[in-house]
Amino acid sequence: MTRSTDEDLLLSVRAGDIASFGLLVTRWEQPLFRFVYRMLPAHEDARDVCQETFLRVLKKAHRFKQGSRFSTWMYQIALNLCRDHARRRRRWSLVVDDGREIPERVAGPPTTMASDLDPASAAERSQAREAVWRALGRLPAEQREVLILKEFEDLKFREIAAILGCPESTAKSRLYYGLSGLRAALAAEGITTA
Amino acid sequence: MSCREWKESWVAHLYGELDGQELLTLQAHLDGCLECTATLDALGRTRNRLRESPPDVPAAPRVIVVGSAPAWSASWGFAAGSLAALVVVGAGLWIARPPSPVQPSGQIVQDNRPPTDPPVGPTDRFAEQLAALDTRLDRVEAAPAVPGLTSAALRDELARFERRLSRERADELDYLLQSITASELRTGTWIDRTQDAIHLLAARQDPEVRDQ
Repeated sequence: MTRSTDEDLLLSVRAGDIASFGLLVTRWEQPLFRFVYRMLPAHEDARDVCQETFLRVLKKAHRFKQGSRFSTWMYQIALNLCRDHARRRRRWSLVVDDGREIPERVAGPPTTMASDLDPASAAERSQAREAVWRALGRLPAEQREVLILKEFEDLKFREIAAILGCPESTAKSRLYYGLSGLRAALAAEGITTA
Repeated sequence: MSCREWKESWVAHLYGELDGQELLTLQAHLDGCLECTATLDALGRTRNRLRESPPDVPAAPRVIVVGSAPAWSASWGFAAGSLAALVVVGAGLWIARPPSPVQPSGQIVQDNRPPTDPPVGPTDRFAEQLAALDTRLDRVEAAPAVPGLTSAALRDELARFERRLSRERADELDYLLQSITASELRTGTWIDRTQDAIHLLAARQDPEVRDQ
């Protein structure tokens, strides 16, 4: 029995087949959560966004354009929700017009201790990881999104461009500026890439 | 072509998406351009730094989709009506129900038609939806046990769900109250924060509702 494609399953969902929706969810719950968590590194926020993403997939199945890729559409929904969530939560540093600067609130990933390292090395590694994620947090959102989609979701530039709704050249350009900006931000954190 | 104009080719090459003639062209350029070679090298090292520090992503909560439910009336203007499908997250379990067409939840008073029922204000709709939500929650709690789902876990998640609704409810109410205050400031008329005031404000904002 051949495996149904995501697009076939979504067509079934449109026809009212809830079991097909369950299959889609089973396939994508892990990858979606990983992506959303990297965008909003807080478990409850990521869970809420994932929940809302699946809800919207279910509710808007009738709007899915045949010939499109389900994963692209799902990532678009998730990314928009992440952006909305970030705007609401103001997770990243913000400067208001009256000149007051709101202290930077960067929700970095949880620190972990690698079991195969001695405590000092593990702590150092954990600090380096946090510094990298603080540096990533300093980038403009559009550059950070491309970096995460490319580096951790391993998507092609063509797919990233489709998700972001921009030309492929724009996606590549944002990645270039993102990497350049990240290098400078890492240097500001005292991390060299030499 | 200046070096900066090669940036798209640099990143494409960095991620192995450059091939054929484009790759040959870039390689020929790199052979004679130290600046581009250095830039590409720097981009590669930055990328490696990022790859060395991937985020620790916790295990994703499991999603379980169970059954189908009768039609759910939704009114997007209020917290209880903001769900077209009921999704419950419980100890990593999500229960999703298919959406249903939105049912009208209020009456429209027209000049040329006597109302058959009194106009339903926003607070009345809200109360109706809360009652319907309670019915839904009762039905969920009475649903057959899902393997691995304990009643305690389900109760915890329903409590979380209700707390979230309460927050959204509070946000909606806050919006209404702020609208009342703004109306008072704009018109100089004190209408107070009463249920009648909320009815009046909502009715005035509804273009279909005319004064009788």
